[in-house]
Amino acid sequence: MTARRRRRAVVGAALAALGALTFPQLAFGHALVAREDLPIPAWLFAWAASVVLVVSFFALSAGWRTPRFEQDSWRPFGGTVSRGLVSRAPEIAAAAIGVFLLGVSIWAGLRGTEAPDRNFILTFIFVTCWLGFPLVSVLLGDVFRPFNPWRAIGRAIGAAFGAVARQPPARLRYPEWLGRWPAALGLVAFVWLEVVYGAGDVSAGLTPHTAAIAALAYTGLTLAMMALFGVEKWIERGETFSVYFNMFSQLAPFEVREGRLGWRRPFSGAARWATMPGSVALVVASIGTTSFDGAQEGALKNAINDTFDKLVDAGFGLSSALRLTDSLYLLGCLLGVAAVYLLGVWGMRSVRNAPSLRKLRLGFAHTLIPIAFAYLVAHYFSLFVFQEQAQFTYLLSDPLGDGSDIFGTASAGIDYGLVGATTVWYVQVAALVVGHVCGLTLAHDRAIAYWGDYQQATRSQYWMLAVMVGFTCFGLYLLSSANL
Amino acid sequence: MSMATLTLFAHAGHYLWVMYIPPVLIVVGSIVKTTLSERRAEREEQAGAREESEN
Repeated sequence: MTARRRRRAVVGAALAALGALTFPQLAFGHALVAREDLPIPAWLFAWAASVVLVVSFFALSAGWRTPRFEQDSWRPFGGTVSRGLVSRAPEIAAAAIGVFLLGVSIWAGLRGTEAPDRNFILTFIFVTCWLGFPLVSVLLGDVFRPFNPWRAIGRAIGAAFGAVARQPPARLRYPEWLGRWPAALGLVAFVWLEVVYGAGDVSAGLTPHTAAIAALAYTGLTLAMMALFGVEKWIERGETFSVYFNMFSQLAPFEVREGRLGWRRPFSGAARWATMPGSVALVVASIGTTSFDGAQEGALKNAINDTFDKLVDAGFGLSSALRLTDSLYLLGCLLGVAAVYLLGVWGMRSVRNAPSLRKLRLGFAHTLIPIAFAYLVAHYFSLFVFQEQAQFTYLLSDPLGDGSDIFGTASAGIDYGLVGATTVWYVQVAALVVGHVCGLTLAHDRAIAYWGDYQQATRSQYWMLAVMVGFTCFGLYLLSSANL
Repeated sequence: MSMATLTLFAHAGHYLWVMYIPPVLIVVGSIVKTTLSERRAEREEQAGAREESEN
C-alpha cells in the first residue's frame, strides 16, 4: 500500500468511526436501536452529565462553606396533625393492612396460577413494594414501618407472651459489630432470588410458588430473630426491608420521633444514618445489585454467555451453570462498586488533617444513598410504570389468576404506549444526574464538618467527584447498553 | 472499502463503551495534576518559610 493510499484509508476509517459513534443506528451490524429520535448519541449524555457534576462541584466549593446537614433540624408538627397520622388507631390499621397483604401474597403464590405475569405475588413483592416503598420513603419518610407485617406479628406475639407470662420476654444482646450486616446480606439474597435463582429456571423464571415459599421462610426467620433480639432491635438492624426502606427515608423531610411527626431539613437525616457497621455494605449492595440487574442484559451479556458456555462445557447442568455464572458476576458488581467507593475514601485520606480511614469510610456512606435511589429509578422506571398498571387492574381483581373478577378490572391490560423509550431515557438521565449531584452535596457538607476549613474540604472532595463521575458514566453506559 | 473494513465498522457498537471513559479519565487526570501542583506549591512555601526563619 502506498503512503497516499494508507493516509486515505486512515482518514476514511477515522471519519467512518466518527460517523459510527455519532449515528450508531446507521452503523451497527446487528443491534436494534430503540431510541432513534435522540438528538445526540447516548454516550454524549454521559459527557454532559459529567460537565453538570463538575460545575456543581465548583458551585458547591464557592457557595457552600458551612455544614448545613450536621445539626439536628427536626421540629414536631402540631398535636392534631401528629395524632391524626401516627396515633394508635392508624398504626393498628396500617399493621392490619400489611399483614393482610402479606397473607394474600403468600396465598396467591401457593394457590394461584404458576404464570408469573398473572399471579399477584411477584408483581406485588418485586415491583409494588420493592420499588414503590423507596419512592414513597424518599418523599414522605419511613412509611414502611407502620405497614411492616413482621413488626406487627412480632409485637402481637410479644404482647400475647407478656399477657400470659406476666413479664416481658427475655432477649439476647444484639452484637454491636453485626450492625446492619444481616440486612445487607438479606438484600443481596433477595435480589439473588429474583435475578439469579429465578433466571436459573430457564423455562419460567422465578415461579409464584417459589416466591411464596421464600416469603414463608423469611417470615419464620424474621420472627425467630425478633424473639432472640427483640422486635425493635431486629427491625432497626437486621430486617432487610425495614433497614433498606429506612435508608431511603433518611432523605425525606418528615420523621416520626417518640410518637410525634415532625419536619426536618431534607437530606439531613442521612447525615446521621451511617453510624454502625454494615451501613457501607447495605448501600453498596443496593447499587451493586441494581447494576448487575441492568448489566446482565446489556454490558455483561457477552461475558456472562461466555462464562456460561465454559461452565456447561466443564460438565455443569444448564440451570446450575447459569446460576453460578450470574452469582459470580453479581459478586463482581458488588466488589466493583465497593472498590470505587473505597478508592474515593482512600483519595480523601491523602488530604492533610484527614480523619482515620475507618471514620471516612463510614462517614461518607450516606452520600451513596441518593445514588442508590437514582440507580433504582433509572433502572426500573419503565418496569414500575408498566407493572403498576397490572397491579392496580387485573392483578387486584384476579390475584390468583384463576379467572375471578373482584373489582371488575380483570380484563384490563397494560398500556405500553404510556411512556415512550425516549421519555424513559430522559427520566433515566435526569435521575442519575440529580442523584449524583445530591450525593456530591452531601459529601461536600460532610467534608466541611470533618476538615473545618472549606478549602481543605474541597480538596478532599476531588476524589468523591471522580467517584460520582465514574458512577454516572457507568450507570449511563449500563442503561444505554441495556436499552439497545 | 473492503469487506473486512466494513465488518469492522458494522461492529463499532461493541466498542461504544470506550466513549464513556474520557469524562472519568479527564476528571481523574485533572485531580492528579491539581493535587501534585498543590503539593509542590506547599513544599515550596514551606521551604521558603524555613529559609526566611534561618536568615
